[in-house]
Amino acid sequence: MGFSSAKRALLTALEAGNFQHEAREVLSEKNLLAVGDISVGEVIGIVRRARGSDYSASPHHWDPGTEVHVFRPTVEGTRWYVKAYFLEEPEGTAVFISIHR
Amino acid sequence: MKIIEEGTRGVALAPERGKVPVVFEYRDLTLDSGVVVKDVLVGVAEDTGEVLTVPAQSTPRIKLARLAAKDETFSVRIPFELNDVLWGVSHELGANPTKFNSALIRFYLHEATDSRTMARRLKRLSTSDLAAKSSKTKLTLRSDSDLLERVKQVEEREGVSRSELVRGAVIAMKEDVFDRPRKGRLAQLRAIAEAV
Repeated sequence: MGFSSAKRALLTALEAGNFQHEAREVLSEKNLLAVGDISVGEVIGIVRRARGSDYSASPHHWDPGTEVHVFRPTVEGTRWYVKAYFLEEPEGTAVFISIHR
Repeated sequence: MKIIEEGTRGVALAPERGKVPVVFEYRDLTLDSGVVVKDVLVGVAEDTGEVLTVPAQSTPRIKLARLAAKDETFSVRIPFELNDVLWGVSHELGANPTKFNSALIRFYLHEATDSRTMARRLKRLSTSDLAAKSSKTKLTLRSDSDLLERVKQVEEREGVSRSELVRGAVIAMKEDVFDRPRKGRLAQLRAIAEAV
């Protein structure tokens, strides 16, 4: 799954409300979407601004078969960090690990 | 919005184990700041019970719990007579004084942070005969930290203490409800009375 497919799948999941947040027994408050500090609409706007050069991917530490997608777009002078994966690629539930400035 | 029901099964990633089956249950969820969100839907590993995923629908309750954790209490001393005014206003508007008294004070403090006219009114009223009587009882109030931060700015700008602002607020509500009632203000206070 490359940049365009990952971006499209993430936007689809966000627009459909088909997403969850990864927890490790406790929930990280660096995931600003999970704790309600930013809205779904804002995250959609952030991801839409991502270009290919803002994107990278790597295997998840807990499951090498799961690809983690990282988008680092700059929106109005602020660099964002959006890290997520899909449970059922390519268009399944998105799971956010982190969304922060 | 996708709503996941309690008992729904799915998969999630677990540390060192990869994909494991999870079941969604209402549980207490701990945030990394230590705030505990009571009875919120989470996905837990079926075998270990470890919380592995939090669905989107749980976010509003997480947000509320974080806001509540930011609430602070503060205490001011006021004359007994002002306490009677507070209870009288609650009685007049048919509200439960336990929550309404705090909400009323917050309303006037908020107005003072929004309007210099109100801030100066509260300062002026804090020196009225009734407000200036000996303060013999303690009033403990709960407020979110954002409001208290803005109130602090009013205190510094207007040269008035928080106790004085609260005493002025009680006299202001006495005027607004009993002495010189105005339709608009009464409607606002009735709306608060119904909401708490």
